[in-house]
Amino acid sequence: MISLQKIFGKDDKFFTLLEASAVEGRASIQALNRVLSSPASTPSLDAFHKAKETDKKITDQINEALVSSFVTQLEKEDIEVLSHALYRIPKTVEKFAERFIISSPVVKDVDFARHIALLDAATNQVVALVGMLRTLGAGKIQEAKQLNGELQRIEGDADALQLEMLRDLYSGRHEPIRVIALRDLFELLETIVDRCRDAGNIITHIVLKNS
Amino acid sequence: MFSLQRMLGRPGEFFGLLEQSAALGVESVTALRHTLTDRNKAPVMDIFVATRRKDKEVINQLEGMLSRVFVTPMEREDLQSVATQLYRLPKTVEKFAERYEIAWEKVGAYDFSLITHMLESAAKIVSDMVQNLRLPGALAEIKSLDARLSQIESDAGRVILEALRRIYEPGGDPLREIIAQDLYHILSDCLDICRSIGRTLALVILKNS
Repeated sequence: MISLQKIFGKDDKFFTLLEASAVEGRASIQALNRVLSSPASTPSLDAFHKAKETDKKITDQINEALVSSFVTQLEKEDIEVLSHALYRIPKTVEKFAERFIISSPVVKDVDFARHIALLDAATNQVVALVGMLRTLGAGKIQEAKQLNGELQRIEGDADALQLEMLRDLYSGRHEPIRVIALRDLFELLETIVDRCRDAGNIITHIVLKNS
Repeated sequence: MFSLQRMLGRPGEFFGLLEQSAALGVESVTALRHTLTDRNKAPVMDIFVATRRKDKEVINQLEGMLSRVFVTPMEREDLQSVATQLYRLPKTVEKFAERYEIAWEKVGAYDFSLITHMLESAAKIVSDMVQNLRLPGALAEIKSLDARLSQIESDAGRVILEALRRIYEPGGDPLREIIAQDLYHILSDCLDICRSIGRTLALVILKNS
């Protein structure tokens, strides 16, 4: 039987794939939390690499589906841009993990708990925002703005935390090589929150267009 | 004389300018690779400045056409976006060369040749992608070139990570490590620019497919 729904892209595969991508971003943060919570053990890149690769496969699936679908519920460019923004979250987490592992001899004793709490909250908001896309329509814009507003607040907190960390690094109390390594790590953590904020802005824009 | 053809524009001219800009990006990266092959010599800045200026002229010409011509082969914003990103490559390469020129004697222990070789491959792929823009049904080819760019980005990431491992080692000369870190960050930016152009081109082709 020919499925018109399938030809015209009215099925929910794009929503499922975007949701799966957001969940992978969150999984990568949970893996990071486990690594940073036990600095004594030698961390492994496997969990981060797996989350990033799974997300890459999802992004490729979305791109292939975009080419083969005539009509999509959301605009094709919006889906493409959002899927890329979501993929950048676990990708940047993996980058952080790589840098953390190679610099662990000089940064092992640093407490990243406050960063992790912010990253956890940010990826939670992204998962919730992506979940909204299935039920677009009038009245959804307020909900999207509220969720995105919370994401903006988290990003503001992350910026403030970054400044506090830099103030400590510039105090002259640390070894120069430790400062070099930590500055890179803190910048990457801030970038992860920025990636979440970018995804939030894209989703809010999509909701606005479709409300 | 009023020229209708002039107002309506010729698609070939737009694509031609983008191709020129991409070729100048390759030229600039190739010059950088040659410069970094000999670690005992100060770089000559002229080539980087000249290439970036030539690129600026090409982009200005394209922007002039965008404001003058009624019909464009694809959306104006897309042409503008590709042009702006293409210009960023020689501009960032020039930035690297400027930094390298003032500090090359201090970072002689670091070998940038492998990473610049990868960057050159990436710039050439970008140039191939731009040449595909004018061809009908280029989506599959653009996607395939984009996948190659992604692979180069991933390989280059590993090379940069290795360099950073060395930079972060305790006991190094802090000044040398700071300079090396800055230089690797700029090279990483150059690779990100190539990757970003590839993605934009894939998106533009997808929109027009």
